[in-house]
Amino acid sequence: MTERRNAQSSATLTDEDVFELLPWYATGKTTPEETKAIDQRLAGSPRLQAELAMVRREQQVSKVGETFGDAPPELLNRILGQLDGARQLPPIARDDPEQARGAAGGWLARLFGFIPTPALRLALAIACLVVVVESAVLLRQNGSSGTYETASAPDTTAAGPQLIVTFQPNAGLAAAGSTISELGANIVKGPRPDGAYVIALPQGADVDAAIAKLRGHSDLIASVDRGS
Amino acid sequence: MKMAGTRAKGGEGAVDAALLQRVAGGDRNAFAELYRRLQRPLYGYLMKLVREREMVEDVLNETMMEVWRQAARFEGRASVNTWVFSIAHHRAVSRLRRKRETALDEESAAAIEDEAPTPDARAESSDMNRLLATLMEQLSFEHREILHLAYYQEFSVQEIAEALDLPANTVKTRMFYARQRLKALLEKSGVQGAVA
Repeated sequence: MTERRNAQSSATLTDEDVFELLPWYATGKTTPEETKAIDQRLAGSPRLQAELAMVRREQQVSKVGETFGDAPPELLNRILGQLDGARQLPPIARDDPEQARGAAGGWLARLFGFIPTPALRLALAIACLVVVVESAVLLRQNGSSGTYETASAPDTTAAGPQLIVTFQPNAGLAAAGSTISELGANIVKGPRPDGAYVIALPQGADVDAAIAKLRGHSDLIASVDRGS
Repeated sequence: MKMAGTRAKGGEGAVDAALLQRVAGGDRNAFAELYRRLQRPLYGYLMKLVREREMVEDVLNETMMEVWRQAARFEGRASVNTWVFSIAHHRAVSRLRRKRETALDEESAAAIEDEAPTPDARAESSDMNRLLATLMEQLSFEHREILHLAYYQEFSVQEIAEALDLPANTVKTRMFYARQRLKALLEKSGVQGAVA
């Protein structure tokens, strides 16, 4: 049974799949099934064997040529010296709905109060905001003409420059949403692993002014950077 | 030396996670220990991407400060190692953008391509590995990064996807194009048959 499954996975792995996986095969980072399938493919393909030799050479060059050693020893002291002034964020409250509700505040918080964490509530609220804004745009576009347009029709409200924004841990949902709306911006991605969101400003928006405005809301916004 | 990718799972990953938990409680000794464990692979990664020593130190500083601030919010969806690399990646990108030294895009990469060693130069430098190392340096930010994470840090596809916030398929595609670009540069340098 296992052999049949392995044979099947080998059969479904094309030469192109193997080609893509070779860098990870060379470092032992493919799954056992992938490894077995690649072994089988390699055995009958001089082209893949040559490619693997190239991958191994690239890896060797990488290993030899990229030895930068340790960071300067004084850097740790520099960082340790900054810890006093750096507030550690509290864990995301999972078991204290009252605390979370208090932090979020308002009807929007009550609306999303069933969600267990403030971060998730904020993410959902922002997602809903995006839907509402896009719906409004579509309704406005369709309202006058009465014609049908797909949701992929051009939306110029927030297709401009992007910013990377991190909200304060206790940022209220309504206030955060309102601040984004004031800029005519949309959340287009997030939260990322570092907790940040990518916001798209309207086309032609003054990026510096938008950054300044967001930074002015230091109670809501922890950081703002230019995006792509 | 243990590579970052090999430590993500198993014993070393568990040690990192335990240290981070103590960091979340404000334990400076645990923070210093975590720093000592991660600084070498992080420093190498940032040197590869950012290249300017002073900026590398600043980004490493910012990364570790973010680890200190966010420690209690680490949810364990990825390994500590991958999480810290993710922070470093975003900090490096942000820094480079601010300085308007963003990674070489296709245009600037093409411009640099013209500076690739000629066949004559290759004849002078008969060392294929040295040539490869030189050409790797001419790749774009994204391509250098993916090669470094896969080859040097030995991250799996999934670990790179988590660190760079990309779908796994994009990781494989990006790696493919990075290697294709490298082969094209090799061909331009007179190495025949580099492009499969």
